[in-house]
Amino acid sequence: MKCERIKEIIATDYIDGQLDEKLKRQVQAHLGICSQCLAYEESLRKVAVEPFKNLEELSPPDFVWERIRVNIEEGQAQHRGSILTFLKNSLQPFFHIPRPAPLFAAIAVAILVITVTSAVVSLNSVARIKSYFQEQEDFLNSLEANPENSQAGSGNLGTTIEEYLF
Amino acid sequence: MVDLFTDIVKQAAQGDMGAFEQIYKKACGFVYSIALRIANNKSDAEEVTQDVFMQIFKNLKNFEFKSSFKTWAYRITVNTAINKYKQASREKYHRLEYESVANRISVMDKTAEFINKESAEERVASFLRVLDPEQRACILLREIEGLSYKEMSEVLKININTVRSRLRRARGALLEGVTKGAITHEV
Repeated sequence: MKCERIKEIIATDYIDGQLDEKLKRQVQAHLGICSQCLAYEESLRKVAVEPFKNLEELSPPDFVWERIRVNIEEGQAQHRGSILTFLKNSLQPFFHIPRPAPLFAAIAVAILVITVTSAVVSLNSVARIKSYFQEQEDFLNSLEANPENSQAGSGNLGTTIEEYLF
Repeated sequence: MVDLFTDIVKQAAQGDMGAFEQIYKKACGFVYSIALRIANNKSDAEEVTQDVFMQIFKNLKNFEFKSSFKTWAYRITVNTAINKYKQASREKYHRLEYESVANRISVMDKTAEFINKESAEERVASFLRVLDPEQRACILLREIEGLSYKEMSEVLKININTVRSRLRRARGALLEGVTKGAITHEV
Protein backbone atom coordinates (compact mmCIF):
# COMPACT_ATOMS: atom_id res chain seq x y z
CA MET A 1 0.00 0.00 0.00
CA LYS A 2 1.11 3.53 -0.71
CA CYS A 3 1.84 6.00 2.13
CA GLU A 4 -1.18 8.13 1.22
CA ARG A 5 -3.56 5.20 1.67
CA ILE A 6 -1.79 4.13 4.87
CA LYS A 7 -2.19 7.63 6.31
CA GLU A 8 -5.92 7.58 5.52
CA ILE A 9 -6.29 4.31 7.39
CA ILE A 10 -4.15 5.57 10.29
CA ALA A 11 -6.32 8.69 10.66
CA THR A 12 -9.47 6.64 11.12
CA ASP A 13 -9.78 2.89 11.66
CA TYR A 14 -6.21 2.24 12.81
CA ILE A 15 -6.12 4.97 15.44
CA ASP A 16 -9.61 4.05 16.60
CA GLY A 17 -8.85 0.33 16.83
CA GLN A 18 -11.51 -0.59 14.27
CA LEU A 19 -9.31 -2.51 11.83
CA ASP A 20 -9.48 -6.26 11.31
CA GLU A 21 -6.33 -8.20 12.27
CA LYS A 22 -5.09 -8.71 8.72
CA LEU A 23 -5.18 -5.04 7.74
CA LYS A 24 -3.83 -4.00 11.12
CA ARG A 25 -0.73 -6.20 10.59
CA GLN A 26 -0.22 -4.70 7.12
CA VAL A 27 -0.29 -1.17 8.54
CA GLN A 28 2.05 -2.10 11.39
CA ALA A 29 4.45 -3.67 8.91
CA HIS A 30 4.42 -0.46 6.86
CA LEU A 31 5.05 1.67 9.97
CA GLY A 32 8.06 -0.54 10.72
CA ILE A 33 9.75 0.53 7.50
CA CYS A 34 8.33 4.07 6.85
CA SER A 35 9.54 6.76 9.26
CA GLN A 36 7.33 9.39 7.66
CA CYS A 37 4.11 7.43 8.25
CA LEU A 38 5.29 6.52 11.77
CA ALA A 39 5.88 10.21 12.57
CA TYR A 40 2.43 11.00 11.18
CA GLU A 41 0.83 8.36 13.41
CA GLU A 42 2.63 9.63 16.54
CA SER A 43 1.73 13.27 15.81
CA LEU A 44 -1.86 12.40 15.19
CA ARG A 45 -2.18 10.58 18.52
CA LYS A 46 -0.65 13.55 20.34
CA VAL A 47 -2.79 16.16 18.65
CA ALA A 48 -6.07 14.50 17.78
CA VAL A 49 -6.55 11.79 20.40
CA GLU A 50 -4.71 12.44 23.66
CA PRO A 51 -5.99 15.99 24.35
CA PHE A 52 -9.54 14.63 24.53
CA LYS A 53 -8.81 11.73 26.87
CA ASN A 54 -9.83 11.79 30.54
CA LEU A 55 -11.92 14.90 30.26
CA GLU A 56 -14.52 15.26 32.95
CA GLU A 57 -18.18 15.46 32.17
CA LEU A 58 -19.44 18.95 32.95
CA SER A 59 -22.64 19.84 34.77
CA PRO A 60 -24.97 22.66 33.82
CA PRO A 61 -25.81 25.25 36.52
CA ASP A 62 -28.84 24.43 38.71
CA PHE A 63 -30.94 27.22 37.22
CA VAL A 64 -31.05 25.38 33.89
CA TRP A 65 -33.26 22.65 35.40
CA GLU A 66 -35.38 25.30 37.15
CA ARG A 67 -36.00 27.04 33.82
CA ILE A 68 -36.89 23.75 32.14
CA ARG A 69 -39.26 22.78 34.98
CA VAL A 70 -41.00 26.16 34.97
CA ASN A 71 -41.36 26.10 31.16
CA ILE A 72 -42.85 22.62 31.20
CA GLU A 73 -45.23 23.35 34.08
CA GLU A 74 -46.40 26.58 32.44
CA GLY A 75 -46.95 24.69 29.21
CA GLN A 76 -48.94 22.00 31.03
CA ALA A 77 -51.07 24.63 32.81
CA GLN A 78 -51.82 26.38 29.52
CA HIS A 79 -52.67 23.04 27.93
CA ARG A 80 -55.06 22.16 30.78
CA GLY A 81 -56.57 25.64 30.55
CA SER A 82 -57.13 25.33 26.83
CA ILE A 83 -58.82 21.92 27.24
CA LEU A 84 -61.14 23.28 29.95
CA THR A 85 -61.97 26.34 27.86
CA PHE A 86 -62.70 24.14 24.86
CA LEU A 87 -64.97 21.85 26.90
CA LYS A 88 -66.75 24.82 28.51
CA ASN A 89 -67.38 26.49 25.15
CA SER A 90 -68.54 23.25 23.57
CA LEU A 91 -70.97 22.33 26.34
CA GLN A 92 -72.28 25.80 27.17
CA PRO A 93 -75.27 25.77 24.76
CA PHE A 94 -76.53 22.51 26.31
CA PHE A 95 -76.32 23.62 29.91
CA HIS A 96 -77.15 27.31 29.62
CA ILE A 97 -78.84 28.60 32.76
CA PRO A 98 -79.63 32.35 32.76
CA ARG A 99 -78.34 34.31 35.69
CA PRO A 100 -81.03 35.12 38.32
CA ALA A 101 -80.85 38.93 38.23
CA PRO A 102 -81.40 39.41 34.47
CA LEU A 103 -84.07 36.68 34.54
CA PHE A 104 -86.06 38.38 37.32
CA ALA A 105 -85.67 41.75 35.64
CA ALA A 106 -86.98 40.31 32.37
CA ILE A 107 -89.99 38.76 34.15
CA ALA A 108 -90.75 42.04 35.99
CA VAL A 109 -90.61 44.02 32.75
CA ALA A 110 -92.90 41.49 31.06
CA ILE A 111 -95.46 41.70 33.91
CA LEU A 112 -95.34 45.48 33.85
CA VAL A 113 -95.88 45.61 30.09
CA ILE A 114 -98.81 43.17 30.29
CA THR A 115 -100.41 45.06 33.19
CA VAL A 116 -100.07 48.49 31.58
CA THR A 117 -101.33 47.19 28.23
CA SER A 118 -104.37 45.48 29.75
CA ALA A 119 -105.12 48.57 31.85
CA VAL A 120 -105.00 50.81 28.80
CA VAL A 121 -107.16 48.39 26.86
CA SER A 122 -109.76 48.20 29.65
CA LEU A 123 -109.86 52.02 30.07
CA ASN A 124 -110.44 52.42 26.32
CA SER A 125 -113.26 49.87 26.43
CA VAL A 126 -115.05 51.64 29.31
CA ALA A 127 -114.72 54.97 27.54
CA ARG A 128 -116.07 53.51 24.31
CA ILE A 129 -119.06 51.92 26.11
CA LYS A 130 -119.79 55.13 27.96
CA SER A 131 -119.64 57.15 24.76
CA TYR A 132 -122.00 54.62 23.04
CA PHE A 133 -124.55 54.94 25.81
CA GLN A 134 -124.21 58.69 25.76
CA GLU A 135 -124.89 58.71 22.00
CA GLN A 136 -127.97 56.51 22.44
CA GLU A 137 -129.28 58.68 25.23
CA ASP A 138 -128.74 61.84 23.21
CA PHE A 139 -130.53 60.28 20.23
CA LEU A 140 -133.54 59.23 22.32
CA ASN A 141 -133.71 62.65 23.95
CA SER A 142 -133.65 64.31 20.56
CA LEU A 143 -136.54 62.08 19.36
CA GLU A 144 -138.62 62.96 22.36
CA ALA A 145 -137.91 66.67 22.12
CA ASN A 146 -138.60 67.01 18.35
CA PRO A 147 -140.79 64.21 16.83
CA GLU A 148 -140.87 65.95 13.33
CA ASN A 149 -137.23 65.42 13.12
CA SER A 150 -137.84 61.74 13.40
CA GLN A 151 -140.26 61.86 10.38
CA ALA A 152 -137.92 64.10 8.55
CA GLY A 153 -135.31 61.67 9.50
CA SER A 154 -137.39 58.77 8.07
CA GLY A 155 -138.01 60.89 4.99
CA ASN A 156 -134.33 60.97 4.68
CA LEU A 157 -134.30 57.25 4.25
CA GLY A 158 -135.06 57.91 0.60
CA THR A 159 -136.97 54.81 -0.72
CA THR A 160 -140.71 54.39 -1.31
CA ILE A 161 -140.96 51.18 0.56
CA GLU A 162 -139.37 52.82 3.55
CA GLU A 163 -141.78 55.75 3.28
CA TYR A 164 -144.67 53.25 3.10
CA LEU A 165 -143.51 51.31 6.11
CA PHE A 166 -142.67 54.24 8.36
CA MET B 1 -23.66 3.00 25.87
CA VAL B 2 -25.73 2.78 29.00
CA ASP B 3 -29.36 3.37 28.17
CA LEU B 4 -31.85 4.99 30.49
CA PHE B 5 -34.58 2.91 32.00
CA THR B 6 -37.44 2.39 29.63
CA ASP B 7 -40.11 2.66 32.31
CA ILE B 8 -38.77 6.02 33.50
CA VAL B 9 -38.98 7.27 29.92
CA LYS B 10 -42.55 5.98 29.66
CA GLN B 11 -43.56 7.65 32.93
CA ALA B 12 -42.01 10.93 31.83
CA ALA B 13 -43.86 10.63 28.52
CA GLN B 14 -47.10 10.64 30.57
CA GLY B 15 -46.10 14.03 31.99
CA ASP B 16 -44.56 12.75 35.26
CA MET B 17 -42.14 15.53 36.25
CA GLY B 18 -40.39 13.34 38.84
CA ALA B 19 -39.51 10.80 36.15
CA PHE B 20 -38.43 13.55 33.79
CA GLU B 21 -36.17 15.02 36.47
CA GLN B 22 -34.47 11.61 36.78
CA ILE B 23 -33.88 11.60 33.03
CA TYR B 24 -32.49 15.13 33.26
CA LYS B 25 -30.11 14.17 36.07
CA LYS B 26 -28.79 11.22 34.09
CA ALA B 27 -28.49 12.98 30.76
CA CYS B 28 -27.72 16.63 31.56
CA GLY B 29 -23.97 15.98 31.95
CA PHE B 30 -23.35 14.67 28.45
CA VAL B 31 -25.87 17.06 26.91
CA TYR B 32 -24.25 20.11 28.51
CA SER B 33 -20.70 18.89 27.84
CA ILE B 34 -21.36 18.36 24.13
CA ALA B 35 -23.30 21.63 23.91
CA LEU B 36 -20.49 23.60 25.56
CA ARG B 37 -17.77 22.01 23.46
CA ILE B 38 -19.61 22.57 20.19
CA ALA B 39 -21.08 26.00 20.97
CA ASN B 40 -17.87 27.10 22.75
CA ASN B 41 -19.80 29.45 25.01
CA LYS B 42 -21.38 28.88 28.43
CA SER B 43 -24.60 30.84 28.03
CA ASP B 44 -25.20 29.24 24.62
CA ALA B 45 -24.54 25.81 26.13
CA GLU B 46 -27.09 26.54 28.88
CA GLU B 47 -29.64 27.59 26.28
CA VAL B 48 -28.89 24.52 24.17
CA THR B 49 -29.31 22.25 27.23
CA GLN B 50 -32.65 23.88 28.00
CA ASP B 51 -33.81 23.56 24.37
CA VAL B 52 -32.67 19.93 24.17
CA PHE B 53 -34.65 18.91 27.27
CA MET B 54 -37.71 20.83 26.13
CA GLN B 55 -37.54 18.96 22.80
CA ILE B 56 -37.02 15.66 24.61
CA PHE B 57 -40.03 16.30 26.86
CA LYS B 58 -42.29 17.29 23.96
CA ASN B 59 -41.29 14.29 21.85
CA LEU B 60 -41.06 11.60 24.54
CA LYS B 61 -44.54 10.28 23.74
CA ASN B 62 -43.45 9.74 20.11
CA PHE B 63 -40.20 8.00 21.10
CA GLU B 64 -40.54 4.42 19.87
CA PHE B 65 -37.37 2.87 21.37
CA LYS B 66 -36.15 1.93 17.87
CA SER B 67 -32.82 3.47 18.82
CA SER B 68 -31.50 3.87 22.35
CA PHE B 69 -32.61 6.91 24.33
CA LYS B 70 -29.00 8.08 24.50
CA THR B 71 -28.54 7.92 20.70
CA TRP B 72 -31.72 9.97 20.32
CA ALA B 73 -30.57 12.50 22.94
CA TYR B 74 -27.13 12.76 21.31
CA ARG B 75 -28.78 13.49 17.96
CA ILE B 76 -30.98 16.27 19.38
CA THR B 77 -28.04 17.73 21.29
CA VAL B 78 -25.63 17.74 18.34
CA ASN B 79 -28.20 19.27 15.97
CA THR B 80 -29.30 21.92 18.48
CA ALA B 81 -25.72 22.83 19.39
CA ILE B 82 -24.61 23.08 15.74
CA ASN B 83 -27.59 25.32 14.94
CA LYS B 84 -26.82 27.48 17.96
CA TYR B 85 -23.18 27.75 16.98
CA LYS B 86 -24.07 28.82 13.44
CA GLN B 87 -26.59 31.35 14.73
CA ALA B 88 -24.06 32.68 17.25
CA SER B 89 -21.34 32.98 14.61
CA ARG B 90 -23.45 35.60 12.90
CA GLU B 91 -23.34 37.68 16.09
CA LYS B 92 -19.72 36.85 16.87
CA TYR B 93 -18.33 40.35 17.14
CA HIS B 94 -20.58 41.39 20.04
CA ARG B 95 -20.08 38.07 21.76
CA LEU B 96 -16.28 38.33 21.89
CA GLU B 97 -16.52 41.78 23.32
CA TYR B 98 -18.92 40.64 26.07
CA GLU B 99 -16.99 37.48 26.93
CA SER B 100 -13.67 39.19 27.46
CA VAL B 101 -15.29 41.49 30.03
CA ALA B 102 -17.20 38.65 31.70
CA ASN B 103 -14.05 36.51 31.94
CA ARG B 104 -12.06 39.30 33.57
CA ILE B 105 -14.77 39.71 36.20
CA SER B 106 -15.26 36.01 36.98
CA VAL B 107 -11.57 35.03 37.25
CA MET B 108 -11.33 36.60 40.75
CA ASP B 109 -13.41 33.93 42.46
CA LYS B 110 -12.04 30.62 41.25
CA THR B 111 -10.50 27.83 43.34
CA ALA B 112 -7.30 26.02 42.21
CA GLU B 113 -9.26 22.89 41.34
CA PHE B 114 -11.68 24.88 39.29
CA ILE B 115 -8.84 26.62 37.46
CA ASN B 116 -7.21 23.25 36.59
CA LYS B 117 -10.48 21.90 35.32
CA GLU B 118 -11.12 25.05 33.41
CA SER B 119 -7.65 25.12 31.88
CA ALA B 120 -8.20 21.56 30.62
CA GLU B 121 -11.43 22.77 29.09
CA GLU B 122 -9.72 25.79 27.57
CA ARG B 123 -7.07 23.53 26.11
CA VAL B 124 -9.70 21.34 24.50
CA ALA B 125 -11.58 24.45 23.36
CA SER B 126 -8.43 25.72 21.63
CA PHE B 127 -8.22 22.45 19.70
CA LEU B 128 -11.89 22.38 18.82
CA ARG B 129 -11.83 25.98 17.67
CA VAL B 130 -9.98 25.06 14.47
CA LEU B 131 -12.78 22.66 13.47
CA ASP B 132 -16.14 23.38 11.94
CA PRO B 133 -19.15 22.36 14.11
CA GLU B 134 -19.81 19.11 12.21
CA GLN B 135 -16.18 18.05 12.67
CA ARG B 136 -16.35 19.02 16.36
CA ALA B 137 -19.39 16.80 16.80
CA CYS B 138 -17.52 13.89 15.22
CA ILE B 139 -14.43 14.31 17.40
CA LEU B 140 -16.52 14.71 20.58
CA LEU B 141 -18.70 11.68 19.92
CA ARG B 142 -15.66 9.55 19.13
CA GLU B 143 -13.02 10.77 21.57
CA ILE B 144 -15.03 11.91 24.57
CA GLU B 145 -18.28 9.96 24.35
CA GLY B 146 -16.53 6.85 22.96
CA LEU B 147 -19.13 6.03 20.29
CA SER B 148 -18.34 3.46 17.60
CA TYR B 149 -18.50 4.45 13.92
CA LYS B 150 -21.87 2.72 13.64
CA GLU B 151 -23.29 4.60 16.62
CA MET B 152 -21.91 7.86 15.25
CA SER B 153 -23.58 7.20 11.91
CA GLU B 154 -26.92 6.67 13.73
CA VAL B 155 -26.55 9.85 15.80
CA LEU B 156 -25.43 12.01 12.88
CA LYS B 157 -27.66 10.26 10.33
CA ILE B 158 -24.80 9.83 7.89
CA ASN B 159 -23.23 6.65 6.51
CA ILE B 160 -20.14 5.09 8.07
CA ASN B 161 -17.83 6.17 5.25
CA THR B 162 -18.95 9.79 5.77
CA VAL B 163 -18.13 9.35 9.49
CA ARG B 164 -14.65 8.15 8.46
CA SER B 165 -14.07 11.03 6.08
CA ARG B 166 -15.24 13.63 8.62
CA LEU B 167 -12.99 12.17 11.29
CA ARG B 168 -10.06 12.08 8.87
CA ARG B 169 -10.55 15.70 7.88
CA ALA B 170 -11.05 16.79 11.48
CA ARG B 171 -7.86 15.09 12.63
CA GLY B 172 -6.02 16.49 9.64
CA ALA B 173 -7.24 19.98 10.58
CA LEU B 174 -6.04 19.52 14.18
CA LEU B 175 -2.61 18.43 12.98
CA GLU B 176 -2.45 21.37 10.59
CA GLY B 177 -3.63 23.73 13.37
CA VAL B 178 -0.70 22.74 15.58
CA THR B 179 1.77 22.82 12.71
CA LYS B 180 0.70 26.30 11.63
CA GLY B 181 0.45 27.60 15.19
CA ALA B 182 -3.32 28.07 15.14
CA ILE B 183 -3.49 25.89 18.28
CA THR B 184 -1.46 27.66 20.90
CA HIS B 185 -1.77 25.31 23.91
CA GLU B 186 1.16 23.03 24.71
CA VAL B 187 0.81 19.63 23.06
